[in-house]
Amino acid sequence: MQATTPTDPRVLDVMLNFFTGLYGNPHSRTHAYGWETDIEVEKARKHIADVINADPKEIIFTSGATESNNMCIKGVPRFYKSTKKHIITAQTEHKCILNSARHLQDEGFEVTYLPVKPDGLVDLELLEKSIRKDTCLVSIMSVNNEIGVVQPIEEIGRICKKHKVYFHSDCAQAYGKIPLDVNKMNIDLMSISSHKIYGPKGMGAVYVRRRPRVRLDPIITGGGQERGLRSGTLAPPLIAGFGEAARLMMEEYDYDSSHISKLSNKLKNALLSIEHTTLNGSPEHHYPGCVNISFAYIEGESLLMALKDIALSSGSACTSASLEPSYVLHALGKDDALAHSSIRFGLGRFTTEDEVDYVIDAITHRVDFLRELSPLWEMVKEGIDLDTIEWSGH
Amino acid sequence: MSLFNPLPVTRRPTKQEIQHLYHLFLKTSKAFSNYNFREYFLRKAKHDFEQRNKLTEDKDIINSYNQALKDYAVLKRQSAISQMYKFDQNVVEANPLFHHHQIKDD
Repeated sequence: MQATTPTDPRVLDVMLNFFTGLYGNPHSRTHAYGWETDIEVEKARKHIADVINADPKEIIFTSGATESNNMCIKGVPRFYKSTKKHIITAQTEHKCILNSARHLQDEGFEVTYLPVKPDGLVDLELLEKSIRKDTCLVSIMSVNNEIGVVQPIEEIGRICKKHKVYFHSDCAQAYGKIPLDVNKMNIDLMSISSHKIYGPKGMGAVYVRRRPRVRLDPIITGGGQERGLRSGTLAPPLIAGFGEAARLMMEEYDYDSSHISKLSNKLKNALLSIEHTTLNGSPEHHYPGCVNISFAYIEGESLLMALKDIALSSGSACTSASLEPSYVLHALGKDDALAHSSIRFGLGRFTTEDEVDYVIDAITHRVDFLRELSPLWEMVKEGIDLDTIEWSGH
Repeated sequence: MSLFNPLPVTRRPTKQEIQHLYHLFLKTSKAFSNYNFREYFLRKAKHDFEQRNKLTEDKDIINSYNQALKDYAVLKRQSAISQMYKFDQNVVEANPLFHHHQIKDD
C-alpha cells in the first residue's frame, strides 16, 4: 500500500492500554506512572530499530515521514553549512523531499535533482559524477510511492561511503516491506512512517546513525528530548502502536510478502493482457504492493469513476487535489497523455483476492467501454499512428 | 468439549484442544464487522493452524499453543470493538458475484 493502510486491530489493542490505564508521561522519572510508560516506549523503539538492524538509541520519534524528511534534508546541510553547500536528490522523490530541497536553495544551498532512467532507477554513474567536494548529503528513496520502483540502495550507500557523503533514504514505502539493513546498506539517515505499516497516523521516526555520528540541526527545539534532535513530549499511545506495527511487520513478513506477491501477479497479468497497457517502472526492481499501469487512450480519472468504491489513485494521494499528471511519470519520460491515463494500485496485508478480482473485472469492462467511445481509439484500430497526426491548434 | 481454558498450558495440548481453539479463532474472526479484517483473520487462522499442525516437538507445540491463546484474547477484544463501530459495507462484500475466495469451512 502507498497512500495509507488501515490500522491493524492488533495495533489498536496495544494502543488502547494507553488511552485507558497507562497515561503517565514517559519523561517523568520520579513516579511509577512515568516509568511504566517509559518502559513501553523503549520497547517500541527496540521493535522499530530491529526491523532495520539499528540500535534503539538511533531511533528518533517524529510526527511522520514528512517531518523526518524535512529534518534530514534541512538539518544535515544546515549543520555542515560552513564547509558544505551541496546536496543531491532525485526528480522522482516525494514532494516533501523536493520542497525541502527547494527551501534549502532559498537559503543559498545548491541542489542537484538527478534525472532517472526510463525504468525509474537512478543512474549510479551519474550519481557518482554529481558528487562534489562540497556535497554533504545524498537523499534517494528506497521504494517509490507512485510506481513502486526499488532503488539500488546498497550500491548508493557504497558510493556515498566511498566519497564520505551522508546518505539519507526516505523509506516510508519500504520499511518493513523489503529487507533493509542500515549497516549493510551504509544508510546514515532513514525516514520511517507508521501509517504505511498498519500503525497509527501522525507518527513516524527518523533513524540517525551514531557511529560515526551524524550531526543535524534540529527543526524543533525545546526540552531536549530524543537526543536533542526532536524536543516535545512523546506520544506513548502512538509510539506503542507504531512499535507493535513494526513488530508485526517482522513477524508477518513472509506471510504478508507471499500474499501480496500472489495478488500483485494476478492483477498485473490480468491488466497487462488488455491491449495497449504498460507497467510503469522497472518490472525487476519492483515492490509488488504498488502497481502502476498506463491504459493508453483512456483518461485515468474516468477509469477511476468505475472504481470509486475501492481505494485507488491516479498520481499520488498527496497531490490528488490537482488533476495535474504525475511528475514522477514525467520524470520517467512519459508524455502528458500517458501520465493522465495511469492508475496506481496498492495491495497490502488486508487486501483480499476477491477485491483483486473485482478490480480486474471492473477495469477490463470500463476500459472497453471508454475506448469504444473514443474517436482516438477508432483511429488506432484503423492502424493510424497518432503521433503522425498534426492536430489543428485551438 | 470442555470449557475453554485461557490460562497458559505447561503440558502438551490435546488434538481436541487445538481443534477447539482453531474453531474459536474462526468464529471470532467471522465476528469482525470490517470485511477486510474478517477475511484477513480467517485466512491467517487457517494458515497458522496449518503451520501448528506441522510441529512435532512437545516444547514447540506448547509454546505455539500458548501464543495462540494470547492472540485469541486480542482477537476477541478487537472483534467485539469492531462490532461497536459499523461503517458502510465494502463494495466487494456487498457484491456476492465476487465471493470466490472466502474461507467457508467452519
